[in-house]
Amino acid sequence: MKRKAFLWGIFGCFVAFLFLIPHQNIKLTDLLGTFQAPSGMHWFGTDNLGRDLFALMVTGGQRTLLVVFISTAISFIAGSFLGMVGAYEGGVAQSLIQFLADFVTVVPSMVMALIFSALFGFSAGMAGVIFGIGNIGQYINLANGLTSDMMRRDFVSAEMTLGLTKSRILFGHIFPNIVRTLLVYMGNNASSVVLQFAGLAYIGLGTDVTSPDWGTLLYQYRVYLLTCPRLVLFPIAAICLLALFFHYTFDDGRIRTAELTIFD
Amino acid sequence: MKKTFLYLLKWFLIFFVASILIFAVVRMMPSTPVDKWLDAYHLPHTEENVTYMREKMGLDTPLTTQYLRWIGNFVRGDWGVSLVSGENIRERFFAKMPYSFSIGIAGLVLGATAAFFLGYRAAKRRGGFCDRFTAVLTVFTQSVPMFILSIIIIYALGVRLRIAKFFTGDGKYALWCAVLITALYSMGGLSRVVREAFREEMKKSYVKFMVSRGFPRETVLLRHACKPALASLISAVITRFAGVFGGSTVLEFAFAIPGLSTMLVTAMDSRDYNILQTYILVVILWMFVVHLVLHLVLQLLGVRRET
Amino acid sequence: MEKNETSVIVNKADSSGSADREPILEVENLNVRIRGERHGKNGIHILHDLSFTVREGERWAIAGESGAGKSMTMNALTALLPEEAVELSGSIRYRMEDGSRVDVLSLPYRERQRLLARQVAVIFQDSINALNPNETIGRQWRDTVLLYRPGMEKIQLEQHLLARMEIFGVQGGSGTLAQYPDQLSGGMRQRIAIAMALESPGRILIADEPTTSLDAITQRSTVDFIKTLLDKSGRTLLYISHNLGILQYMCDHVMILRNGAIVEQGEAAEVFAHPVHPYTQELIRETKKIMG
Repeated sequence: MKRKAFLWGIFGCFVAFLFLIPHQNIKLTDLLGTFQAPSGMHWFGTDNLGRDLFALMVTGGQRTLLVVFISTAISFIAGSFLGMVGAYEGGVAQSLIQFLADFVTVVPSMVMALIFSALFGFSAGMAGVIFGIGNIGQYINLANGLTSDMMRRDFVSAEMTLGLTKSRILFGHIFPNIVRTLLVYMGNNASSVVLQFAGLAYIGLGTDVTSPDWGTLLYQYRVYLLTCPRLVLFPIAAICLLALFFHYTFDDGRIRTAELTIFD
Repeated sequence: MKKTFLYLLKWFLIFFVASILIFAVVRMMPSTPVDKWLDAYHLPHTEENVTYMREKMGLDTPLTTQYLRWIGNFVRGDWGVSLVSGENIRERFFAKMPYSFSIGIAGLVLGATAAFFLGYRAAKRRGGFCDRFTAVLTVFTQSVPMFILSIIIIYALGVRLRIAKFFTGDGKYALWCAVLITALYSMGGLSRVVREAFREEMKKSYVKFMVSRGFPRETVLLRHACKPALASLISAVITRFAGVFGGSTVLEFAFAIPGLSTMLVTAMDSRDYNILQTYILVVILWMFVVHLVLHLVLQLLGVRRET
Repeated sequence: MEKNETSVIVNKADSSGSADREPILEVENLNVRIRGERHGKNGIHILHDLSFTVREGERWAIAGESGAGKSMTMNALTALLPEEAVELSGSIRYRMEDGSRVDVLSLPYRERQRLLARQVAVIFQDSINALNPNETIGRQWRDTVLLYRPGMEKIQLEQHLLARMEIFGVQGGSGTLAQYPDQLSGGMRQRIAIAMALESPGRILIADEPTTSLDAITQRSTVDFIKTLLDKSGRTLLYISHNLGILQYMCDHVMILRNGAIVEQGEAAEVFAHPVHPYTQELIRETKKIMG
């Protein structure tokens, strides 16, 4: 528990840092000062256009967090809600929700995001919404299965007999029991959203200077891999670290069982 | 019988809903293919030109008529022509599909096979090499994007060591790398799924009972307890397939493989309605075929629930 | 874990006729520890210095409350404990068919398991779930028979199965063999599981609470069934249960376990009539109260 609080503390500082730190205008180019090494003036140095890499990285980080936040919020809230309600209600509602889950799982969200960003322009908010909708399916399936398991427990049928309201049983009693598993899934999902977004920015017409996403930066700098590896290494490190962070923070050791079998 | 019917009905609905959705989406775009076409030939956007081109592209009729004509033709196998170049779309797709589809299929088959054995070994020796390796691999694939690995591979093999030509020649290195990366990335998560399934079986009474009768432990797991693990593996593959397909889109781009996604990018530039619409339907059909095959395999496995 | 108050009490050492029979299983100072970083440096000490001798044809009851180490004892005797996570010390000597005695703890794990499968037939607590849900009854049964008699002819094998089904009261003939466990009733599955366990040529049968998950009537018929089988085959029995009533009915010897150690052992009639250890006295008193 201590480790978790520590991780969250770091994360809080990181977010505050990203959004509060003053940084140079990312559009400011300086053609005389290209490829400058890191210094007090430019913490991460400058790129091929003389832009401040630190400023670009910070802006990219803000956008990535925005995407992760929008996406996981949409899929977690909508997915858990629909999955639980579907399992509780059964019948037509369940079939409809199941159809929705199948539908969004079958249509590759990466492809949808590509099409949408090409048609309506590339924006972090939109990418978040599309990944969010695309990932709903797995949350629905997970919440659905967990809720059905819970429904078979004695305490739920007891509560039904006692006449507790539907929402009370679902959100007051079932949800707290399944939220742990859902959160672990959400952690993995947040990691994968970081990667998906980086990938999308990498192909997603990565020439837009005003949206310096980590993936976009990688696309722009990939030709300098030999001459100035720093430009490529910073975005790579940022993507990997953020993904790793989400993976570990939501990981819950208590869920893992360590039962011994005759094979151990 | 009823289940089969419902299954097919579900896919019919998915196909139908997706077709309407994509049809509507492409028509909500801010700029139309007519504009793009006129721009491409440096023609003025006069009323006359626009009307003429709209008519020529068949965009002047009511939307329902357009939709019905398109979907009707698609089902009959006439996928129409590109609005921009006038090429036959079906021929173009059939030329590109082998690349995109084979990356997904070959990568996944390779990855799933390896995942099964890795997962088995990881389950058998808890905390052993395979167990730790698959755990690390899973974290790796969750934190390092495919395209970054591609960049590194291109740099290492193509630029530094010069043992593979990725962007010149017949592109076989690029294709192989894409397949291997897909395999590696599906292997991580899938091997953990297999591991969990095997460990679940190991706890069961019948496994202990078989060992007590004198069956070697390995035989019990691999021959008699493998079905549930295989079933979990296949179910996981089914849910991940769309993601794998999306991933191969990125890989095609990174390795400059002339597959469907390169075509998609050009089609998006020219706002080619027909190609965009067809692309989505082809993807859904492809998903249908893969899901159908995998669900049939699951049926054949016939894993029974315990009472 | 609390230390046992007294050492083992041997109740009026064996005076009956069975004393002159050959011992078939001798356990001496058996200790079991579970290793693992979660359990401290020395691990958890689960069984403490178990020593007992089982002679040919005897029927032993292993009694005690849940958690006393009954199932652990059985798993230790049959090499069904995790290989690396568990540390065994002491000796477990079985008498082989040729009369030689083998300390199975001195054998490598794999070897031990193979050997014991031929020495001991085991019936588990959860015998209803003891069948592989994904294989037909026939396949599992055939595999088991072929394990003990490799290369058996196909026709012979089928005849053998049908004959065994007759003996064990499994109805339905080859129709049943083609079915999956979930298509059969619980009682039927249990009979099949017992039948498969007894394909083993072993002279010892260890039954670990085989009736706990059954209703009273099925319980009774299963117990009777096992008893009849033993009467016919003359196998030695180790019957593990917390149900003193059944133990008294089935067995002629008893050992009482508490906190992983034997507190009292001896002839059943003697122990039940004149328990010496206070724990045994309490156990018997409480059982009588419930039975009325």
